[in-house]
Amino acid sequence: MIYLDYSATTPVDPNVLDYFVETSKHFFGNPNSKHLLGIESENQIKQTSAKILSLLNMENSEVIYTSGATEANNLAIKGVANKYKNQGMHLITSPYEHSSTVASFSYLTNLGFEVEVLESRSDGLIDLAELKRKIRKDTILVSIALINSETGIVQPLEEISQIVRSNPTTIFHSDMTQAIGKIHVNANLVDLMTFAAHKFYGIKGIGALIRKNTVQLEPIIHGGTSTTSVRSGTPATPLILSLGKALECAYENFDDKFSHVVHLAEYLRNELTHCPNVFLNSTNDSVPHIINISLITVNSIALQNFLQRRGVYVSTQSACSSSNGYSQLIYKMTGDDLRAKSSIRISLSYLTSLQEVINFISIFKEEVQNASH
Amino acid sequence: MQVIRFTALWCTSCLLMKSRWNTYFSSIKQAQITDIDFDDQNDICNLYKIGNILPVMIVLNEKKEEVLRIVGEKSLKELHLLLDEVLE
Repeated sequence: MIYLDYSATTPVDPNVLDYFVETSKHFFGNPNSKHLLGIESENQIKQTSAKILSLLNMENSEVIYTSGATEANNLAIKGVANKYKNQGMHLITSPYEHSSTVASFSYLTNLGFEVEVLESRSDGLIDLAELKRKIRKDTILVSIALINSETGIVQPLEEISQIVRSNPTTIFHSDMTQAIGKIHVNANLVDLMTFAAHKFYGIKGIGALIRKNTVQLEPIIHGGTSTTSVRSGTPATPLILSLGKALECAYENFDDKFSHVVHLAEYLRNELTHCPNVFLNSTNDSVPHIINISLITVNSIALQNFLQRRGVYVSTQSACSSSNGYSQLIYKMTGDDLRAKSSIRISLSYLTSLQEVINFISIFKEEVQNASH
Repeated sequence: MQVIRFTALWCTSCLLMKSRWNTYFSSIKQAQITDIDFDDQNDICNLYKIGNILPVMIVLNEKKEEVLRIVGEKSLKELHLLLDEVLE
């Protein structure tokens, strides 16, 4: 098997899994209980939160644990909108967001909020001047993902942050699900950030929303105060501790892991650009971990199936489509229907070996050859 | 005239078009608008042969015949060009 879909999810790091098992045995007490076992669990969670904030160089912030990034995005967007609606009902987002962000905003439009989506551009970046123009006195939230999951394009967080902060009443949320564990992030540039453990070799079912203490949120799950006042429910102590462990592991030998992926990506990009009928949809602004391409002679689902039969796993993007793998985003960026129909995402990891990439190229070239006949 | 709009909650183009539609239809009083959810109302989507690209807007005349179909993102100017004459 050649797994090249690490941006969809990652295999769990054995150290994280061991830690999860150990902590499940030792810290089973309900952190909301006031007896010793509960207090022990609660303390473990507090220590984990402190570790997460330290790893992300964040201060004066709270870690709110969620079931994943989807819930965290929902809480950030709906939580801000409902809390601050008396100050304004204008919200801004980008055309490069995850479906959980888009769906949260769509839900809010049905409640009467005014949501503006920035224009998409051929380079996959937002137009900073447009963002500046669109922020108004009643803009309560700007939500822009740091990295687009389909193309890997990284948005200029610092410039965006500067623009948003020019209006002191606007809160800046960034979905950093594809960024954490892949690149160094200056989390202090945002007021709210989202991520999920399974994208960086953690366990599925745990994510977080980090909020600056200055930001208030209206809960979306009600049920009384737990480790936080904005997300009720018995905290999943072992999962929470495993999230901290996964983040810690992600930052170990970070530069070496990153260099390895850069090397693989350079090799892969170079090989792919020499294949006939192949177009690179990722750009120089993309992280090396994500390479989006179109082999315009083959529909993306057909290519995915061909590769799967050969033991290679990549992904297609089917947002705004039913099941044919049509990528609205690639269409918007390139204006090319063929590229939109044939786009696939190859995502790499520090676990990917050069031999796997070489084998992938060899299998992929077979399909290129087949498709040209 | 009846206008049927097909959207999905997770669709960026639908979110974008909702705001343009709101602007456009704020001045069109005679159109009877029905919104259909792509995920929840499959039967109606199938009936109108909604394809792979969203959003879709269909205009029906008084005999319930389809007179216009707009697929995907359109600018406000394009909406005026396509719809003004039909909805007159």
